[in-house]
Amino acid sequence: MMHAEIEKAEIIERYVRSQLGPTERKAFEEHFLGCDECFERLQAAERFATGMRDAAERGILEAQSASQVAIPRWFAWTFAGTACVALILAGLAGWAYFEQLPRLRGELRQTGAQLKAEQQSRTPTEQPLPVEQAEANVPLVMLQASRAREEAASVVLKPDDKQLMLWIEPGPSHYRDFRLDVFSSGNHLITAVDHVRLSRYGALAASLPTKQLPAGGVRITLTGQNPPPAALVGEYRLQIYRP
Amino acid sequence: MLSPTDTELVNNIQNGQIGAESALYEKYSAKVYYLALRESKSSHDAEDVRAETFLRVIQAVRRNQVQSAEALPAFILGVTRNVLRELYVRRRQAGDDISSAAAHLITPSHERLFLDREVRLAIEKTIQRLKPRERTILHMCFYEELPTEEIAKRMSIAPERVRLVKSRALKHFRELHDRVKSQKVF
Repeated sequence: MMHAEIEKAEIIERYVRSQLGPTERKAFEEHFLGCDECFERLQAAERFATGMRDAAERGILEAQSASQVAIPRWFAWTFAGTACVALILAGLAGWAYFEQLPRLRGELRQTGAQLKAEQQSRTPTEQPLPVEQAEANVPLVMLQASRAREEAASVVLKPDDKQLMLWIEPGPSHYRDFRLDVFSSGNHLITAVDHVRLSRYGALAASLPTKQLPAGGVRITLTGQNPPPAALVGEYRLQIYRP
Repeated sequence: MLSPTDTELVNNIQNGQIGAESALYEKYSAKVYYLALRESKSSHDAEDVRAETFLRVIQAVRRNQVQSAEALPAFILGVTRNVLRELYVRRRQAGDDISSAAAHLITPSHERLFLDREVRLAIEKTIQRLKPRERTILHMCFYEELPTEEIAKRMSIAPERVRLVKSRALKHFRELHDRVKSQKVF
């Protein structure tokens, strides 16, 4: 018999109170015959139990009834009520966490995706300029449909100019949306702007980043996009100078 | 000084060493007397049982009839039980029994052995330290002799709490009893 077992199974107290079975009793007696520590504890437990019994008989160890020392009924009911409310609140919190939050998160993700899609579909002209591009004097050039012999429109782009505003009056047209394509003199596409819409003045305004525009002549085509079918509406030439 | 091991005791007795049998008696005497008193409920019978037990044990050791020194406690226990059985047989043959022998005693003999002035003083001091609930728990345990689980149920507390109350009270009692015995207090 090990000390841990003696401790855990309250062997000493049960032996003193003659509550051990024959096997446990024999095992413990064999143990304490060879173990001075357990015999000492056994003697102390015998004295303690005998002394407590004697004290109870003499009225020193007076007992209160269980109802006097047990938890009061009103307290038990209050505690039970509070525990119930706490359980309900915990249940609601759990329901909100596991049921509602995922749904709300899903809706938020969906709304975010829609917003992003809308932002992506907007024309560059509608996009707010970044703060660093909010120039006070943006160079502007008005383009007219080019003819072979006519002189091309020109503009001087200073190093500080970050945007170039193109102003085009396409004339009467059934198109609501237009596309601008800018080609280099070598006929390579430099940049393009989609979904440009007519202003209330019947003009198209499109902003181009100057860093994409090389010095020299460029060709700009204007294509009606919407309603389909798309068709070329005009072609313009622009001479760019960089000091 | 450390008491001799069982192996040393057995070897010394078998070698006829002076004092070896006294050492064996000294080591196991109190334990055998406790067992005998607990069973017989009589201090006179317990004395007889102890004397008879050691006579037989020492003779067996001398004749090398103990299987191994490690089994010495179990061997002593077995001899004690045999002597107690013979005592019961003699009692039955004499028409005597435990209840009639102890009829005049309120407390069984083996318990009276543990109940002296020092124990009573230490118990009273221990009880003074207890809270009312703890006193009730100990009353249920040692006077009403209720099991731990039943006490816990009646008191609406966990069984571990009942065990804790008992072990704390026992610890205080042992400390106080040691002080009383050494006359450091009172």
